[in-house]
Amino acid sequence: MIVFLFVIAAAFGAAIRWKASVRWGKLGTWSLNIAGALALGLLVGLGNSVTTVLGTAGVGAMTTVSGLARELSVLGSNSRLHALLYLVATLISGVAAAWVGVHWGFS
Amino acid sequence: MATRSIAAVLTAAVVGAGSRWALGLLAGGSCGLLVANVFGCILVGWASSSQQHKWDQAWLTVGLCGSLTSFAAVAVSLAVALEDQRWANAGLWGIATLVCCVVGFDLGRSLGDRK
Repeated sequence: MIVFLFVIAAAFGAAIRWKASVRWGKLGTWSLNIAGALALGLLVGLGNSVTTVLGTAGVGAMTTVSGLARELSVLGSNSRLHALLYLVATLISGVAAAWVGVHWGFS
Repeated sequence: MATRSIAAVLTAAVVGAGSRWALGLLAGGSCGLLVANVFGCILVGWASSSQQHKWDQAWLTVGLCGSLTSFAAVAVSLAVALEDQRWANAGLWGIATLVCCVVGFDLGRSLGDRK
């Protein structure tokens, strides 16, 4: 049952990311990365199977580092400053969102 | 969007997320996540420079690499380290992830350019 839910959650997370990145580009990736960091922070204290299905599969597949690296590369080819700002903004807001989730979550 | 592309992306996403989970079990949480993130960045760097069909690009970059890597897990690791006031741990982990992913992406792109 957990394997089935894992498959569904991973496919669902990736589909959301795909749709968002096609529709909103970098803003879509950034939004999902931040929302995912907050969601995973909230889930950290829950039971093992819930964290595996929702956290590792769903939220994990919804957020991406490789997509961020690719967008930074494209952005950096035009302006290194913009790429650096995008990276710093993503890191700070992502860690802040995750901290809020961990602090106020179910743990 | 072709049905074939959707099926390929969703299947690759399951493989990517499953591989990240398995790496976490085999190499330990943080180490497995770092390996998954770096490997995903190498692959996406390679895919961004090599000439492939659009269908291949979608399953590889959006599906496999996108789900193999996880920003949320990195952010939560850093947040937990900061919450526990392990400043050095958080700094080292953040810098290691950042540097390894950037180097991995460039390595993948240079491998793709060689073809």
